[in-house]
Amino acid sequence: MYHPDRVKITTMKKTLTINLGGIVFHIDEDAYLLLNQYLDLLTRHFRAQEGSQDILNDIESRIAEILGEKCSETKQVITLEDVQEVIGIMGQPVEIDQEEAPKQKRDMADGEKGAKRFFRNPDEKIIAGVCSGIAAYFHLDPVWIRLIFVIFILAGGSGILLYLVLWFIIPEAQSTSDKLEMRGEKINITNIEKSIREELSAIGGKIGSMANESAASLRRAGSGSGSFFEIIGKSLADVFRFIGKGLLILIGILLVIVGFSMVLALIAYTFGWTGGIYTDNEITVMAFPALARLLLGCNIPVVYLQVMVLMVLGIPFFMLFYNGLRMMFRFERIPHLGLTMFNIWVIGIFFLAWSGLKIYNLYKVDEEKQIEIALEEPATDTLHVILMADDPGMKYLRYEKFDILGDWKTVITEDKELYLVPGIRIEESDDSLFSISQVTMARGKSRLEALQHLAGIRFQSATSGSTLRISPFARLPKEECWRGQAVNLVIRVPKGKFIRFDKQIRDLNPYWYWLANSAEETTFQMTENGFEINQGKDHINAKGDSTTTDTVRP
Amino acid sequence: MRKGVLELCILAIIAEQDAYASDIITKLKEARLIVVEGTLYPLLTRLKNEGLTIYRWEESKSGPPRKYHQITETGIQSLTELRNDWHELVASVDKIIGISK
Repeated sequence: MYHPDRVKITTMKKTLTINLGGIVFHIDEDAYLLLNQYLDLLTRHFRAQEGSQDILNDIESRIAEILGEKCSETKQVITLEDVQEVIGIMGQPVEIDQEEAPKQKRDMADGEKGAKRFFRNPDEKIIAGVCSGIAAYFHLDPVWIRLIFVIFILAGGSGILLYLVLWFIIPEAQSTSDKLEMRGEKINITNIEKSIREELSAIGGKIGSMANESAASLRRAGSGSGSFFEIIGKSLADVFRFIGKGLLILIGILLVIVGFSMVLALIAYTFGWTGGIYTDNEITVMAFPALARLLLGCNIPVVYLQVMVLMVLGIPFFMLFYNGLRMMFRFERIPHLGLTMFNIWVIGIFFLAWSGLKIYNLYKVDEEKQIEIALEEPATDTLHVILMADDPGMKYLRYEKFDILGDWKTVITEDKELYLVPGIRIEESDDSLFSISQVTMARGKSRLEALQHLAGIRFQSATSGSTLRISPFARLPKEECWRGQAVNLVIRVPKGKFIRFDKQIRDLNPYWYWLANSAEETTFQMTENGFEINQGKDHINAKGDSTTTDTVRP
Repeated sequence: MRKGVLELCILAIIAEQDAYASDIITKLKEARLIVVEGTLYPLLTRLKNEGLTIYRWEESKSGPPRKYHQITETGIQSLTELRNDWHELVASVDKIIGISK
C-alpha cells in the first residue's frame, strides 16, 4: 500500500543503504531499525532448527522481492509502512509456529524467547511498570509484586525508594524482542542448556564482529590518512571529545550530589527530622511541622503543606538529580517523566498559592483589647516586677525545647499547648503616677472570630502594694488555634522613679538584651535622658550604651 | 491438525512443476492453507533436508536469481505414500462424520 499523499507530509528523514538478498535498497532509518529487529527475532527463532541459515536466506530474499515490487521511479525509499506490511505478510514467529506445526514443536516453542532480562512493562503499568516487569520475569501475577511493594511502603517507606531506584535502573521494554525477553522462560533443563548455548554463540558472534570492525578501521586508517596533520587533527578532536565527555560526567556528578542532598535535606526539614535549624547567632528557625502548625493552626492538616512544599521545592531538585544521573550514565530519557514532573510542580504551585490565600484569610481581621491594671501608688518609689510563682507556665521557664520566630520565643508543650512570651515595654509616665496597661491582640477571619481568639488567651497579672506579678507566658490551651495572639505589657514610669525586674524575667526571653545578664535584679530609673539602668556603680543606658549618670539608688 | 498436510501440498505443487517460493505461496494462499508467508520457508528447508526436493538457481529478468525447487525420486515416492495416507484419512474421517450425521 503506497500512499503518495502521506509521503508528502513526511519531514526529512535519514536514509540508509542496505543490501538485502543481493539487492540494494534505500531505507528510512526507522524502517531499517524495525526490519533489523524483525530479522533478529527470526534468527533467534530458527536458531535451533536444522538448516536455519537456509531458512533465513530464503526469507530475506522473499522480503527483498516484496520490497523490490514497492520501489518505482518515483518512490525509491523503503518506509516504515512498507516494512510493517512485509512483516505482516511474512508473519511473526508465533504465527509461523501456529501454522507450521512441526514435529517436536511444542517443547521448542516454550524456549523460543531468548535470554531472560529485566524490563519495565509498559503495557501493564500503574506507575512505571516496575512491578509488572518483575512479575513477567518470574512468571507471576503482577498483583503479588505490587502487594509486596505496598507492604514495604507501609513498613517504613523503603518501598518508595526501592521503586524509584528500580525505575532508574531497569530499562523499559520498547521493542517486540524486549517484550519477549521480558517474559522470560520457565526454568527447565533444556532451557538452561539452550540459554548457555545461546550465550556462547552470542559471545562468539560479538568477537567475530569486533574483529571485522577493527580490521575495517585499520584499512580505513591506512587508505584515508593522507597527511600527518589530518591524523593530528583527528586525534585532537578525539581528545576534545574525551574532555567534553569527562566534563559532562563531572557536571553530572555535581548535579546528582546537589540534587540528592537538597531533596534529602528538604524532606528531612519538612518532616521535622532535623528539628529546628540553628543559625550562627543561636536563633533557631522553627522546625517545619511546628511552623506549619502555628500558621495553619488546627484547621488544615500540616501534611498538606508538607506535600505542597515538597512538590514545589523538591521537584526542581529532583530533576537536577535526574538530569545529573542522565549525564553520568547516558541512559535514555524516561518517557514523559519531565512533563509529568512539570505538571505536578505546576499543581503544587497552584495549591501553594491557594493555601497562601487561605492562610492570609485566616489572619485577615485584627482585634486588640487594652485593660488598665489598677495599681496603688507604690510605698517606695520603686515598682517591683516578678513572675507568678504558682502559674502553670513556670515549669517551662528554662525549657530547652522552644521555638523561635525571629526574636519571639514560643514553647509548644507535649500537650500541644502554646506558651507565648509577653512583650514588655517601658515608657515615661505623663504624671507622677505609675500605670500599667495590658494589651492583648488576636487575628481571625472575621471580627467575631478575632474576638473569640482574643478571649482564648490565658494571661494573668495582679498587683499588691508596689509589686506587679505577671504570668510568665500567655497560654493558649490545646483547643485554641494560634492566630497572631500576643500579650504586651506597657509600664509607664514617672520621672525620677524606679522599676525593678526580678532575675526570672530574664529567663523568659534570652534575647531581652536590656536586662542585665548576671545580676539578681535589674533596676532602671526614668531620668532626664530617658530610661537608664541603675546597678550600683554601673550606669548603663537602657539601650546598652554606657553613660555617666549620677543617679543614686535610693 | 495440519501437521504434515502443508508438506503434502507443497510437495504436490512442486511435483506438478518446478516452482519457486512465490509460486508456491500464491497457490497456498489461494487455497487458504497459509496466512503468513514465513511459514513456508522452514517447510521447504525441511523437505530439502529430508532429500525429498532439491533446488537450482535460475536467473530472473526482474531481480536476483531465484531458487527453483524440484522434486526428487524419493520425493515422488514419498508424495505417493502421503497421498494414499491422506485419502485413507479423509475416507476414515468421512465415515465417522457420515455416521454422526
